[in-house]
This record gives sequence, C-alpha cells and structure tokens, in this order.
Amino acid sequence: MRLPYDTHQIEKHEPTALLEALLFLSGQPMKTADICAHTGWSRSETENTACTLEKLLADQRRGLALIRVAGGYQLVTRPDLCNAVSWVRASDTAELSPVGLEVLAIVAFKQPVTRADIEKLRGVSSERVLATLVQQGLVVELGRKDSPGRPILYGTSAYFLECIGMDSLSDLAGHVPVAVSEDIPSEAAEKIEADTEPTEDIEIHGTVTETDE
Amino acid sequence: MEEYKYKVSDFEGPLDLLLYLIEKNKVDIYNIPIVEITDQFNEYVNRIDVFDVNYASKFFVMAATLLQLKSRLLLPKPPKEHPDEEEDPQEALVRQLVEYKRMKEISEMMGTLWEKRSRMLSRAGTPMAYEPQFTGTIATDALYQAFRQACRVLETQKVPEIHIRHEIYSVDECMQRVAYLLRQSPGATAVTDVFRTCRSKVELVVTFLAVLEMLKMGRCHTLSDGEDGNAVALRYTPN
Repeated sequence: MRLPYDTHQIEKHEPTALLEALLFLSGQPMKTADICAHTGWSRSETENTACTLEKLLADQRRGLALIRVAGGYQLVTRPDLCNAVSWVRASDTAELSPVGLEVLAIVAFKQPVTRADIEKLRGVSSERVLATLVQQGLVVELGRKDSPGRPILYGTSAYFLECIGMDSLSDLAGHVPVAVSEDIPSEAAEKIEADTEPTEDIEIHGTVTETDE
Repeated sequence: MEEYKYKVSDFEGPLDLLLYLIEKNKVDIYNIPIVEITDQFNEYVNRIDVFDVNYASKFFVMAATLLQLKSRLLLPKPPKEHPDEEEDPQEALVRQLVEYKRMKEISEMMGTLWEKRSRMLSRAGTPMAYEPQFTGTIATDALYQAFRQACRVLETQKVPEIHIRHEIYSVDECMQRVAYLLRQSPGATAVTDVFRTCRSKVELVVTFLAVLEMLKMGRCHTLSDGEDGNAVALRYTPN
C-alpha cells in the first residue's frame, strides 16, 4: 500500500510534523520564542524546520500554507482556494474602510504619532477613525508625548502585522513603492529604512512589488 | 462651462480635492499654477452642500490659503525687512501635498496586502489547559503593602516638575501601555520597571490598578524574581 509520505523520510521530517501539529493547534500565529519554549529547539532550528515545512506544503500542493507573520508562524489555507472554501466564514481580518486604511498607513509609517500629527497630515479630523482602529485592536497607545497637554502617542499593534500578513514593520517598509518625493524622516521611517531619494515625478504603474511567499 | 463630475463631499478633505485638481490639470506638483488651481478649487467650494460644519470648514480654510497665495503672486512683493525665517507658504503647502500623496500611495499598497492576507483563512486556536484563576479575598493590609512598594519606586525617581496639573488617565489606557511594555521583553519584566515609567502619583495609582486588573483577567502572570526570590516580575500571557 502506498503511503502519502515516504516512510524512510519520517525520521528526517519528524520535527516538521511536530511543528505542523503545534501550528494546527495554535490556529493563530505562534511566536518563534513560544515554539522554542514548547519544543526545546533553538531559534535557528525552528526557522529551518519552518522553511522545510513551508516547502513541503508547497511542493506537495497541499491545501495549507505556512506563512511568517508578526514574528511568528501560522498555518493558513492556500489563498487560491479562498473562493472554494469561502462558505467557512472565518473573519480573521477586521473590516477596513478606505479612510481607515489611510489613517492606518500614517500610523504604521510615522509611529509614534499623535492624533494632531495625523490630522495635520490629512488635513481633516481623524478622531472617529482613530477610535475605531483602536477598538479593532490595530492601533495601540504607546504612551504620552512629553509636550504640553501630554497627548497620546499611537502605534500599530502585533495584530495589525497579522492582518496585513507581514513579519515586521521593516518587512512592510520593503513593500513601499519607489519614492516620488522626499520623505520627511521620523524615528520610525529611519528605523524601517524608507527610500528617501528625491526624484522627478514618476508615473507609478501598480504599487506592489513582488513579495516573497 | 466645465462639467463637474464630483462634489466636494466625494473628497476626503481639501488636500484630496487639491490633488485631484493637480492631476486633472496635469500640472507639476512642485510648480502649481496657483491662479487656475485656486479658481477651480473655489468653484467646488462654492457648491458645498454638506451640513457637517467641521468638514466644510477645512475646505474654507484651504480656499483662504489658496487665495492668499494667489494674492501674493499678483501683488508686488513688499520689501523684506528681516531675512525671511518662515517657510514660504507655497512651499509649505506643496510639502503637505506631497506628503499626503505619498501616504495615499502607501495606503493603496497596504490595501493590496490586506486583501491578499484576507484570502488566507485560519482556524481559531485550541485553548490551552485550564490555568486556575485566583479566587478568594485579599487582606487589605497586603494590598496596602504592595502599593507602598510601588510608591517607593516613584520616591527614588527624580520626577521633573510638571506645570500642567490636570492629567486624566484611564485604567484601559494604562492596561494597553503595560501590555505593550510586557510584550516587548521575551522573558519577564520586573514590576518595579513597570512602575518606573510613571511620572506622577496619579499615573502610578492608575497603572497599579491596571496591573491588578490584568492579573485578574489572566492577561499576565507573576513570577518571583531577584536574588532571594522576593521581588515580583510580570510576564505577558499569550492566549
């Protein structure tokens, strides 16, 4: 009888099986540190096992894929199967309006940022949108600014990274389209190495660079 | 007479409308023909039919700014008495527009990523083995002693004089801050380090309540810390 997996490779892939089991139970992204705590593996061992598992799932054209998100790993259904399985309503990601997306982009790239900073950039009031984003758990309060009135500083949460499918903020910065103008540097922008070269007007055809799956 | 495809309420704000006009007229954002753009902007503003005063007022402010720029262009320049330290208002506007445009592009990119991610579905996690929550009563004295310990941290700090006294803190806000702080370190955080971030007694009290609330909810748990195991450390509980 032909088995679905090559038996002689079972010993080699046992860590892969363990990781698969852990991620299945976890459902939600599991941080590398937590995986290490459960299994006793080192960080590099975990990362290698994850790579192997990712490749295995892709090579065997399985229904699940391994993604690296918010500093951890997660098993998800393959995106191209989405329509076929969509009767299962798993509302992983929050609903997001275009305005919400705009404010979220500002918070993500300019954090830590106050509500006043956001409103100055957009030219309109942002109180309601910001409150919604905080309620959805995408934006969190990072403390208060050391200036008169001590306004609240906002930043994005780990849940935000999960929702957008990114491993970290620098990962997100890597997807930024080629700069059309000079960026106004802020702490966060410097940290995430945004492209700051001032150029002439460039026609932007599409805005997403190829991601690594 | 031009046909107006959009109304003011279709735009998210004055910057949005300005960008639309710049693109529609196919002009260089760094070299805006102020006169034409101002006139076109005003055509839209004159037809404002929204009742949201806050929203409409932003457009009026922008219209006024544009008129000021237009007038500067048309009138002879007054002789400059001091070297102009303030930024040229037109430059300031262009800078604002450019940054806004950039953010719009970035948010478009993020929207694509968001949509892509939403096509990957996952299951809710299987909950871990039940960890008993604390039930029972605590002696008031023990609570007082714990708070005294927290206060001691504040006493050792040199807190700079804050002149603006009216500070309002909420337990929810402090809970979020403490959660963020705890999540930063992979291990545990000494409780004294958590309270060290407080700048005033009011903040300390609310943060103390926040920590208690989080312990009650099970969002973090305590570990013993320090050489003789007498100090307390907190660790965030991932769910």
